[in-house]
Amino acid sequence: MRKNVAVDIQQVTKIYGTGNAAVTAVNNVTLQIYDNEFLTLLGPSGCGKTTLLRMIAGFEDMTKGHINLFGEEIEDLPPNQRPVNTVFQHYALFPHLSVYENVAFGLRRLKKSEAEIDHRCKEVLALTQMEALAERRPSQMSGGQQQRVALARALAPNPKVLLLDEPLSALDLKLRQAMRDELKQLQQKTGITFIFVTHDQEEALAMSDRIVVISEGKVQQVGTPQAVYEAPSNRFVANFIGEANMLEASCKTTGKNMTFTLVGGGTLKISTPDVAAGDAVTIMIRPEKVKVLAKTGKKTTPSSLQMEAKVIEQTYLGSVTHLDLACDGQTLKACINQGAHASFATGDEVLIEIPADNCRVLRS
Amino acid sequence: MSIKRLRLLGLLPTWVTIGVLMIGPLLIMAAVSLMEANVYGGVHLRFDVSSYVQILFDKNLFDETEFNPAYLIIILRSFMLALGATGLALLIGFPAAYYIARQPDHRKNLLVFLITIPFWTNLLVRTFAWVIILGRGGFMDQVGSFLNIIGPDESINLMYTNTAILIGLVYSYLPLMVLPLYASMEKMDVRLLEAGADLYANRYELIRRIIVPLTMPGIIGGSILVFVPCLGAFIAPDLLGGGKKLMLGSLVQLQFATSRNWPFGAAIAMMLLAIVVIALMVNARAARRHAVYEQTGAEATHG
Repeated sequence: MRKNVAVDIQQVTKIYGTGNAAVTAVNNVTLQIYDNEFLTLLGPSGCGKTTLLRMIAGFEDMTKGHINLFGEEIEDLPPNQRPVNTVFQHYALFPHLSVYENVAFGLRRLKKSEAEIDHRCKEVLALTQMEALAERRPSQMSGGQQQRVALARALAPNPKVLLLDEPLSALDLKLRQAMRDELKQLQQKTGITFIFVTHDQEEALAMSDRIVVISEGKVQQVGTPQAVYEAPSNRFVANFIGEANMLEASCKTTGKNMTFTLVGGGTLKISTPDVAAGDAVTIMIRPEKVKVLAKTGKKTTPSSLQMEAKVIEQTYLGSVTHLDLACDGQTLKACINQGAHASFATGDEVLIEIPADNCRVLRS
Repeated sequence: MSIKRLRLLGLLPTWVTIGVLMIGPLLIMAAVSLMEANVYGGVHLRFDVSSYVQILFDKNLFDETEFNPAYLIIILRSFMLALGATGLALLIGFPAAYYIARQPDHRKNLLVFLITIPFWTNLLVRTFAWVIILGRGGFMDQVGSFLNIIGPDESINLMYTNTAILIGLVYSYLPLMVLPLYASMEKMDVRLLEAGADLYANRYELIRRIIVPLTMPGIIGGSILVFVPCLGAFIAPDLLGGGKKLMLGSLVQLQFATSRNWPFGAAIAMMLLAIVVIALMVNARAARRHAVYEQTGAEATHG
């Protein structure tokens, strides 16, 4: 099925300041965002993700590049003429207007009829479960309620694309988790394209259809949550999303199954297409894929590397236990399920197993 | 000494200031307005309400009381000029205050400082500068002849008109409009304007629907601060109106200094006070209505 492109970002660059003081916030970003998609721009603070969002909304000019919305050029339109709406990080609700009037604001500016405004307001207030508080002022509501109003207000004009700028960052953990599910459901119910900006990788993994990982103004990887977690394209993505063990290695033989020799000795056969013999690479493995066995244990999978290690720290987290292991002069992290293995104590000598199938080869 | 007594003692300066320096003179003026005038200045200690009657009525040759609109015209002129000056000051002050509030911090402080500079010079001197600007052969005439609006020896003839008084009033009290406007605009969250633009509001609608409602306390405060002194102004009407276009302030000054009719001057001052009190009451009511905005503005910053 061919997907409709909702937002087409072509080689967009944003440079603040001039001369020596110039800072490149967004560096030559090209990205297609599809219709009816929940797309997350994920990256550390200051990586340019909010700047990119603000350029789509029209609050920032582009230094270079083009942004098309459903095939139409929008870069010359001021924010009030772009058919997109924004949920702001600090909500930015109008303090002098009731919840109802906040939600009606966009519709009134679009000169909708009173009946239409009333119908639509009630609809989105019901959608966000805020109809009971329609007459309240923003100051008389909790952060979570203000969040819902901000959402209702941005949805009311039925935008083609909804931009969400870290909307959950001001909420406490419990509420944030509840709002995650709700946002995802809301996106599916309304069929509006959501572009969600966050620095919280867990949020991104939980909600997105696709994640765009951004660092220093550049797109590092675009993919489904599974893709960016299981097959990160570089060290930054591997480290930023979830935890990762990095093993330095060099590539030995060419061919379909290549042999990698770790710096500390030991070899792994991994099939990977895009490295050549002699390349220095990094082998990444997630902590939960590292198997920890008692010293006397036997190899469980044939294509894995076995190494001796020592438990230097263990953290009990209920359903799982995190282990820090000293192995060949570096620290590896492992994450084991409770009950699946015998428990280990700090100082125990153990065997660890690194299955080749779960390794990911990254270029250094 | 108990804490309670100490507290009362601490309030003493306040009571002295309000009592001796404010309420005292006010009561004296109220009393004077109800006494009989002494033609050599001062008053006879006799109760007499004729000063208040004199505001609207006069005795004709046959000693009959008849309606005299002369003072009413002055009252209306004062009212219209004060209202006009307030409106003009708002029109000029609003964008000026907005501009200042949107500047980076260091420039903001500099601009606010510049706004207050005129207060360092005597109002009389500053108003006299306008005589030079507006007067025959003055700056305005030179500009006029340069632009060929008037001939080389002609004058725009602005002096001694209501327009000249209006210019003088706006000039004198503009800072009092800008400062409270600036204070409430500075507090306003700019992100609300982004939200407004995002929700399809154009420039005019941003002003009308967001900036004006949120800066209403500043608009009301500034308007009162300009309107009240304009109503009682006498320097601008004297110098720029040539003393012919009297305003309430000049009338009071005239009664005390020249006509030596203290009770009449006091009666007009009392009436002026009444107008001001009514204006302040309107202000207080409007401010109460907008108290909710203030509160929410404060909360939005940590929400």
